[in-house]
Amino acid sequence: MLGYALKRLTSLAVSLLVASLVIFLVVEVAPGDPASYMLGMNAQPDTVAALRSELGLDLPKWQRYLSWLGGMLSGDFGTSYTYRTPVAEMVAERIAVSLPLALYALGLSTLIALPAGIYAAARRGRAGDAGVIGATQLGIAIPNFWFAMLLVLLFALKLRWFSAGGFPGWEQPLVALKSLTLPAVALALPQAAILARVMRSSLIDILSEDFIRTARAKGLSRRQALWRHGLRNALIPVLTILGLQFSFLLAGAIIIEQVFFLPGLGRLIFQSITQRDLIVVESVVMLLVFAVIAVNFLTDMAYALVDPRLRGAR
Amino acid sequence: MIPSSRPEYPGGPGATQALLQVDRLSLSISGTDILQEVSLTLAQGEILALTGESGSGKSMTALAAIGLLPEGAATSGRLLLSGRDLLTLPERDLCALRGREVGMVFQEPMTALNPVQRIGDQVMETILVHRAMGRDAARARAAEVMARVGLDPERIPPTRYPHELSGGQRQRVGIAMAIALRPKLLIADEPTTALDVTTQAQILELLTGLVREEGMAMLMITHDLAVVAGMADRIAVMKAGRIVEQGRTAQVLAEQRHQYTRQLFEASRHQAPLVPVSPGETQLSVREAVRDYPLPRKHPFAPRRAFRAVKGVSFDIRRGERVGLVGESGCGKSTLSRAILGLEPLQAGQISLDGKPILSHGRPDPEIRRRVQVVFQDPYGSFNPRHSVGRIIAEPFHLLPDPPKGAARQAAIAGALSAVGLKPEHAEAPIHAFSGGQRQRIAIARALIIEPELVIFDEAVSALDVRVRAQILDLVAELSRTRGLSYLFVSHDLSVVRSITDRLLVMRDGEIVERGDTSDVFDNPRHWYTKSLMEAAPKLPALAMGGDDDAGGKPL
Repeated sequence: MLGYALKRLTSLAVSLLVASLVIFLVVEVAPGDPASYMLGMNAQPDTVAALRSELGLDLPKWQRYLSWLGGMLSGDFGTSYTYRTPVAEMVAERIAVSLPLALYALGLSTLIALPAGIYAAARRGRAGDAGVIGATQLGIAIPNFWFAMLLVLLFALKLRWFSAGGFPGWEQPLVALKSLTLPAVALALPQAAILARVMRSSLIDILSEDFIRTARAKGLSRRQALWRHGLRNALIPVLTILGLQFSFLLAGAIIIEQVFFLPGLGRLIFQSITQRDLIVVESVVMLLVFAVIAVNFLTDMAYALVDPRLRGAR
Repeated sequence: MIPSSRPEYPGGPGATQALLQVDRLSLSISGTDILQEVSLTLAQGEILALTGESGSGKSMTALAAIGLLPEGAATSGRLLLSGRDLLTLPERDLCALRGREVGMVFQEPMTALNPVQRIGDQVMETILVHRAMGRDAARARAAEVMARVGLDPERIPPTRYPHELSGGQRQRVGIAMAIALRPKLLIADEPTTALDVTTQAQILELLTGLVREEGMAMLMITHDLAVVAGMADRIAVMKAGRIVEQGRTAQVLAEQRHQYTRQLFEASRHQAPLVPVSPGETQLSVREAVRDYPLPRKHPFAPRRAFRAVKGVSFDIRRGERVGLVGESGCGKSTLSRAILGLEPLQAGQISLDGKPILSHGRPDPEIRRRVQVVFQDPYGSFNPRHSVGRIIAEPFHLLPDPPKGAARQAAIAGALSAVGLKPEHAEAPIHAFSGGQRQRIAIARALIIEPELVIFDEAVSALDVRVRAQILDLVAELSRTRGLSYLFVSHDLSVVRSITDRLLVMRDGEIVERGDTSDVFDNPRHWYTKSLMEAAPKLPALAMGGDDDAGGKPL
């Protein structure tokens, strides 16, 4: 297990290094000079040059890469070209919204999807199964921004249980959580539909395996065989999808953030790109890459916990 | 030479109260008749072998006897276990009975165990699910049974996972699970079919010993008459859902009253009519072939390790020669045959055909490659199910620089189909319309269509029923006669190789440990490994009646 973890960690570090290089180069070759963009169309060339040297844009590329990388490692993400505030602060503010929202949505989706998938698999071909399949079809088909607006119409405007949008900050955790509830539900629904389908089909596959028949021959009931032998074996594809979904939820919530006026990471990237605030784009993208790779690492670890065949050097 | 190494069961049916009594059991699954009026009895302490070809209904009979019929099964008749009718028993009672009164061992040890649970826990579960004893007592009992089935706790502790065990060891775990609560009836469904001969012999011995010592009854499902002959008290022969003959083993084998039993028996001992050939010049030459597989590193900076699957093997096949390659699973015989096909790179040594290397610059030379063709074990798995037979057969044409088109192509397909005993009009049919034997004929037609000089048969008849197997072996012999085909026949089954080859190579751990004329090696094996293979192979007794005794009188 330790060897397996070490191996995964090494590949994590290498991936991060490669990703940082790629991101840096892509942002470098993107057209548009931040300094002239910041100073406007009519700026004097010597003012632009002064700003360029102040921002460190006149240094050789490799030097800027190294200082960017070194800064990231020490927590210094640089200063936003547009707002002149430290990027780390801006990002931290946004993560305080995006991360809890992603976790909230992921939790909801898991809570809905796993029981639904297991229920459907256990009743394969019967009415309950057909019901779950129909519901998941709907969940995948409905665009989540439209569903989000329906939620706002019903729960915020009509019933007045939740606020229609905005985020009050974490001073009052319960209020904050409440304001994240509708967006989390809107995000979780399509994810849950996909996850439930994966859970169902994976479990159905496993239930036709020989070892399930062996378990039944030992005297286990259908239900016992499903819970004791089927579930754990069926989890690998579910974990894969969960990992992908988390990465998506972290930054892919941009539309939902718009609908609910949430100051999240998705909106930050969007704004920074339109404002050529390259240092923010670089840092946030790097952060997201880190999150995706870290989640992949955790998923790999979860695989190994579930399946002993993956532990140790095979 | 009737098998009599073991005392006959004293009573026979009816002498004591029958433990299992199947009374005119009929079964249909969604309208298809599977079993028709099957009647059987099995007394305490008795071994009954249920034999027949695939699809004869023997496995369904076994599943019925443990109450595990698939959904949608409609039954009539009675199936009494200790007087209780399993066909009418509610599911709750069936759960209480499975594992406690009836234990079952399945065919595929590789998939019959839960891969993510420790073996000790899986054995213990049988005990715990029936609440037969507390956790500690259950753990002790599990350890006891695992030792009983020959799993040494020093080498194979209960904390192991199934993937850390060999096939034979896994089957021992399967048996331990089945007997943990000392059931009265043990059902074994082809328990050794997936195992090597030496392992098979050990597992059969274990099962027989358990039945005799623990006083269990055993219902043994097998397609292999030789296995039956060595261990069962009585035999029931099934065909198309009916029992066509049953009785004492010795009696059934000696009398073979039913025509079908006779056919099975003859097919099992079938000798393909090989005409003697005088081999020509050297065709295939394998020189010091070495194949390594890289193993995963222990940690990222550890040196690369490798597993040597083929350790410097050399042999020749001359034009027209028929060579057998035998060995147990993992011995390297499949790697070697893949290397001959140019599908595996070699780390050292060379394989050449007519003096030209198979691989040039690491790639198979198409000029050479098309002169060697292969027939695999599972024909269905090697066909694209969407293609017609004609298209499947014509596949190797892509190896030709100038493949035939139009009428010439049709003629070639028709010719290949006729050569394997099928009709030219079969070319239009989809592959799923054909039986296993016909599919294997199609696979042979595909190999023959570009007139190769050498064909590799890689376990080509291992998945076939005995009667079909006999037909395919005849076909191979016929092709050798008419086309002067040379071939390498790779198999784990000694009796098959014996009937179809002139020369034999015995492989073990990546090396050829014995080689010689097939009849010499069989009559006078020199290497200890060859000897142990021959001793372990189940043997059919020679017959008092039934004409040609020549084949049966030999050790195999």
